[in-house]
Parts: sequence; structure tokens; C-alpha cells
Amino acid sequence: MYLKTFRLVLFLMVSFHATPIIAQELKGKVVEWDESMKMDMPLTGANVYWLNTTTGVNTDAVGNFSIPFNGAGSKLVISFVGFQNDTLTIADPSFLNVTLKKSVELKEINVEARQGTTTISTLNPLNVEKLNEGEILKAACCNLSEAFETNPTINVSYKDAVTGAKEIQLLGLSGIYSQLMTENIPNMRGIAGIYGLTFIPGPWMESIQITKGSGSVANGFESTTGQINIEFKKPEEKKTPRFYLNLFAEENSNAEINTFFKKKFSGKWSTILMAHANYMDKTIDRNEDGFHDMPHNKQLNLYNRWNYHSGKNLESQFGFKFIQDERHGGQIHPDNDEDPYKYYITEISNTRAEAFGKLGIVFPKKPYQSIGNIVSVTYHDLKSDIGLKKYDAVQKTIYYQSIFQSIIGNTNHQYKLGVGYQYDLLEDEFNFLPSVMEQHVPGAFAEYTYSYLEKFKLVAGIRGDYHNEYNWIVTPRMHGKYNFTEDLILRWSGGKSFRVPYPVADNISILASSKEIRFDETARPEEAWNYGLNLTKRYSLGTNEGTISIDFYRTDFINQLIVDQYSETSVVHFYNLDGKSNATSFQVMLNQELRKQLNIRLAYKKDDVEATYNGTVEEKPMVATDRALMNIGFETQNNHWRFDYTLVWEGKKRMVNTFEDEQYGMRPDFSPDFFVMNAQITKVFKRFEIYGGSENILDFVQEHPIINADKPFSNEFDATQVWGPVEGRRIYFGLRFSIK
Amino acid sequence: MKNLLFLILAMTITSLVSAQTDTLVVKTSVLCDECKERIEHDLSFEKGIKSNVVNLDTKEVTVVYNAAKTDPQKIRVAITKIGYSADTLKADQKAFNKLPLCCREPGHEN
Repeated sequence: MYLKTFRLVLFLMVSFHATPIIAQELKGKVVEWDESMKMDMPLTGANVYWLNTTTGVNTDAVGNFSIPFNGAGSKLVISFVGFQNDTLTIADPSFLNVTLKKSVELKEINVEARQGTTTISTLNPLNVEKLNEGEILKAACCNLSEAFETNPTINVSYKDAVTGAKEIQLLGLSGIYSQLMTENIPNMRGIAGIYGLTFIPGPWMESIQITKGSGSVANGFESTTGQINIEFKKPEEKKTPRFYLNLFAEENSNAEINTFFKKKFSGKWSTILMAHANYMDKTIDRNEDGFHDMPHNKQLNLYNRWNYHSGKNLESQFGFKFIQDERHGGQIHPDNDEDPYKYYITEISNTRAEAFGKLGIVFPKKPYQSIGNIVSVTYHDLKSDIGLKKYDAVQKTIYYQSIFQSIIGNTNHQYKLGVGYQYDLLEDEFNFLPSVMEQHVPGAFAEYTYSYLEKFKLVAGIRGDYHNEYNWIVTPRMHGKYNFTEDLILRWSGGKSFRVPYPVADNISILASSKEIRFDETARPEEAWNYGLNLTKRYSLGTNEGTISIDFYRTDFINQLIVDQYSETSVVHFYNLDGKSNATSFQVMLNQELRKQLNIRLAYKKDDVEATYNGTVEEKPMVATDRALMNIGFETQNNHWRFDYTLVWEGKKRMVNTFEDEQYGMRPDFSPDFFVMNAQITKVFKRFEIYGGSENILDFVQEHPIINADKPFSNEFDATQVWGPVEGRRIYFGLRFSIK
Repeated sequence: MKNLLFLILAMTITSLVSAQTDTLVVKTSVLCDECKERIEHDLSFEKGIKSNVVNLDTKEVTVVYNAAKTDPQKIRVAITKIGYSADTLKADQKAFNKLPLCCREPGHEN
């Protein structure tokens, strides 16, 4: 059996290297037209292959190639990194001259057909789901925490019933184990992670890429379960409107405004200024427990970025961002009486400043070669009063990275070499106990990519970083893909990760309870292995296209900071993992075009997450083992109306031992399962769009989310046992206006 | 919820059982993706137009329209008012001046 499998694998590996022997050869030359030199320049290492076959060659030093002739009418593909592919129908084996056109950027191939709002590339060896603007607009509103509503891969849920803090889960694990990036710069790290999702306004985003599993070593050692990368609207891009305005209002009086202006100077400089503000100050207490259902919230968010393109070989970007966010919640109290000993009040403020710079150098004669430099500096100030518990922190970070990218001989062998440095200074105070954590982490990495045509790709990388406290961190990672056919792709990934935990900040919601927080030992860095498989099949039923995608991922922790709510009811213990901790995630997703402009997405996910709590292996609390999603999108033929409907089913979740509520008794061991339904309608006018919709249409809420809400200062108060929606049905309206 | 499903159903039926339509192909002066987007969007708001698609390679707009509500000449005039030529008709100069940069190469107003 094993031998058979081995033989099959061996056969597969040999067979796509084998070249059929045919006497007739097709010879030709591949060049590019160099505008500055007014002449053709040969392209070395370009891929030349027959479409839907395994026969391919590379051009030599002067751009010449020779490939066995495949018969009249065969299609020949010529591709090269940095250039647009060319496909030619070959009639006879006479000498062929091919001029490739440079792609302005590495764009996906332009297709006439309307693209889905979520796409999975067939070229990328990583398992990446791309959510483009159409998908982002489906969300009610206005920030990253809501953008995943129509996506099955990422769950977003409230962590407690008072602060409004949200947590994402990827592959069944908390968002602290995935890496959030903005344009490939790690962002919202450490203390910013808690509210960071709400600091990225929806209308600023161009697209979101979700990478599942171990990513590239180029982005650091931190991501365990995957990466979420945000691309903002870019000033240099034509499709970005010159002016954009979005107004949004909810029946609960939440109002938001998003706007941006773009300006192009000469041909080289361009800039964009973006602003976001939201304001919510209505007191809502539908469950009549004396607490705000949602905290009051005020946010101001400003972003200015610049782009410089020399027109030849230099491209530079830099930008500045400023965020001020305030949340006020907890027990409802008179305006003139804010005595924190009388009322349980939550007061959270975030102030954040970011600056970044990027400098890219390309080599016009060598389109496969480039140098990229990134610097980013952030300052974050978090002040949180949650009842009588207090966590204040200031974090300063510096991030620097340089990457050199080139090829060995031809573009079948690409490599990246990089150096980086990460500085983190965290000064915090937990219940008036100050501490300082300073981290210096210089590092370097190397990554090699082997490609065989567009069929097989293998990326292997390793990075070494030196941490001032934990010494050497070695991170090996590998991923790849194999196309069985053009439409059937297998991807795999595996790799290690390393992360320094922020015990309080990572678990800030735990403060919203009278449970004692006890750090049993000093937290050690968290280390884990993650490996996974993905199989994607594209197909068409008549003229309707569909995709089916199956994922299987596993995370095994070597060390993890365990937050133990099982062992004792009135104490939350923090200690290092002693035993096993792992997460197994399986997902199947179907995207199907039912007819023109009508699409359906069906998905089912199973997450098994377990860890060792005080010697016993237990299911991780507050994780829905089963989850299913259905999304239907419909657009009228003239594109004047858009409809979107989402139904999510979330299975039961394991709960921990908690206090007995005097009125409502003990919590059960498992939460009930529930449905959440959202819908949206958009009407497109000639110069603007209006939209309206409703979230949580079924109005399903967790009753009594707070245990002993009437006695917040007693020893048996807990607002952290939240398993379902805390907000009821919401109805909203909005307007979008843009000038191209 | 029920209402929404009904609405979707209703829209589906109305678009399936649509009125008598004619097809018109107009040569026009499109140059880039932005021109294509502009014509397709703006033209879709003209009376009687069911759908329209711009082909950048052939520089043609294929328009499906309701013959009871509009006619080929009205459609051509509508295209010129967006800022592009339509068969023998020249682009409206005022509209042309407002087009995105890549659609405004000199000589393309006719």
C-alpha cells in the first residue's frame, strides 16, 4: 500500500518533468520593447509552454527558446514575472517572435467576466481568500470587525457584555494567534489588538486578504493560524475616486461619516486624505439589567498617505494615521453622578498614532529583481477602567524591514533575502502595579521559491531572530501548491511561530468580572506548529461558474499561556501550558453562480479546540465547534439594485464554571445554538448610492448576559460569560457619493 | 425576511419575462477601463435601456433596449452626452472635458 502510494508520488513527480519526444521543434525569441532605448531587449528565463500540457521550456540568455512542436492549432503560453502573459495559437513550426508587455503592477489577468466578490487565486501557493470591495460593502457598516460577516473563515464575537471589545477567531483560535497587517506591515499588535479591528474603517479598504495557515517568513515569526492583510484605497490608482463621502445612521442613533479626497500632482506625486468619525450616545438597555447594552462610543480617525513614482525605478510611499477612540459603558447612572464606587462604570480610551514609509527599487532591465524597504513607527495609549479594575498601558513600536528579491538563472528559481528589526516598549499598570517590558528583536530571513510552469510551486523559508530576553528564535516555514489540472489545486503549508504574550491586554475582557486574576508563574513565549491542506476545485455548470474549497488545518502548541477558568470558580489562573493544547479546523465552502448576477455561498466549519487545564484536557470554552453560513447576493441586470442576505448558524459552546445568578440560577454546561440573519438592499443612482438593511433580523440575543447584574461590586459578579449576540435587531441606512 | 425573499423572487420574474427588446451596436470612442465603466453606468440610467456592454477591443457598445420607449438615435445622442462619439455623431464637448484623463486623448471627441 505504502509502496504503491510512494510509486504514485514518484510517478507524479517524474511525469511532469518528462518531455515527449517529437522530432519537429518550434523555435522563437522572446523580447520586450524598451521605450527608453527604443529597441527590443531579450528576456532571459521566460516560461514557454503548451497550454494544458506539461511541456515547457525557458528562454536562454538572448531570449531564444526551442520547444517540441505540438501540432497545428495548439496554444502556446509565454509568461514572465512582471509581464503580462501571452497566449498564441500556433499554426506551423516557423520561427516565432514574441514581444511581452510589461504589467504596470502584478495585476491579476484582466477578464471580461464579472469577478466574484470573494476570490481564491489559482496561481498563489498560499491559501488566500481575497475579499474585494463588493464583499466589504455587504457589511452593515463601517469597520473591519464587521467586514467578515459574510465570510465563513473568520468568526467575530463580543468578549464581554460591557466594554464592546470584539474578538476574531481564525481556525478556532483567538485573533492574537493570527497576524493583522496593513499593506504588509504588521499592525495593531499588543495592546492595540483588543479594539484594533474597529480602528480600520470599511470605506477606506480596497480589499482584505485572509491567508490561512503558516504564511511567509518575510512577515515575521508571530503568525500562527494565518494573516489578515488590509489594502487601503491608493492615491496612485485610477479607480480610486477623487472624492468620496459615506454617511451612515442607525436607529440606535449611531452615526458615522467616512470621506476621502485624492489629489494627483504632476505625474509623480499623489496623495489621499481620509477621515472617519462615529458617534453613538444613546442609552439602550433592552434587557433591563441596568447596564448599557452597548457602550457609548466616539471615534475620530485620520489618515494621510503619499505616493511618489519616479516613472523609472523608484517608488515610495509614506503616510500618517491618528486615532482617538472613547467608550463609556457599564451601569446606567445620572449624568451628574459618576461615582465609580456607586456605579459599575467602564471607561476606555485609545489614542494611537502611526507613521510608515516604504521605498521600492525596481530594475527596468531585470523585472524579476527588486529591493523593498519598510519602516513603521507606532504609539498607542490605552486607558481602561472596568468597574474598579484598571489597566493602563503605553506601547511604542518600531518596525523595519528590507527585502531583496531576485532569481537564480531563471524565474523558476526565485529567492528573497531580508533583514529586519522590531522594537517594542510596553509600560503598563495593572491595578496600580506598574511593569515595563522592552523587546529588541533583530533578525534575518531567506526564502526560496521553486516554480514549474504554473503547475507546481514550492516555497521554503527560514528566519532567525535574536530576542533580547529569549535569545534565538528560529522559524522554519514551507508552503506549496500543485495543479492537478488548471481547475483543481492542492495547497499545503507548515511552519512554526513564536509570540510573546501580553497577559492582561490579550485577555482584557476578563477584568469585567469579580473573579480574582492570579498569575501563577511568569509567562513564557508561546510557540506553536501549524500545518494544513487545502483543495480547491473550480468548475462550471453550463455558463455558471462555481468553486468548492476544502480546508484542513491543525495547530499544536509547544507552549501557550493558559487562561484557566475551569479549576476554580472565583479565580482565573494564568500559567504556562503543561500538557497538550491543539486546534483542529475543517471547513468546506461552496461558491456558486446560480444564474447571471445571482450568487450563493454555503459553508460549514468544524473547530475542535482543546487544552490542558490543571492536568485535565478540556474543550476550550466559548468556541462554537460547528458553524454554518449561507450568503446570497443578487444584482439586477442594469446593476441598479443589489440585494444581500446572510444566515449564520452557530453551534453550542462549552461554558466554564461560574457564579450562580441569584435571579436566574446556574449557567448550563453548554450554551444553546442560534441563528443570526442579516440583509441589505442597495439602490444605485446615477451619481450616488443609498443602502439600508438590518442586522440580527431574528432579534436573537443572549438573555441576562451579566451574572448578578444588580450587584456589580459583590464577589459574584461576571460580565464575561458571553456566548451570543448582546445587541438585538439593528436597522440602518446609508449614502455613498463619489466623484471619479 | 419573507418580504425580502418575495422581492428577490419578483425581481427575478420581472427580469425573465421582460418586454420586447431590440439590440443596437454603436461604434464609440472608448479608450480605457474608466471609459467603459462610465458609459455602462451612465447609459444604464437612460430611459428604455435594458442593458449595455462596452467592448474595448472593438470599441463598440452593445445596447439592449425597449423599442417602445426609446430608439437608436436617442441612444446615440445619450452616448454623446456622456462624452463619447456614437457612430457618426461627435461627443458633446462639455461632457468630454469632464471625462477622466485617460478618456480625453485629443482627437477622440469625434
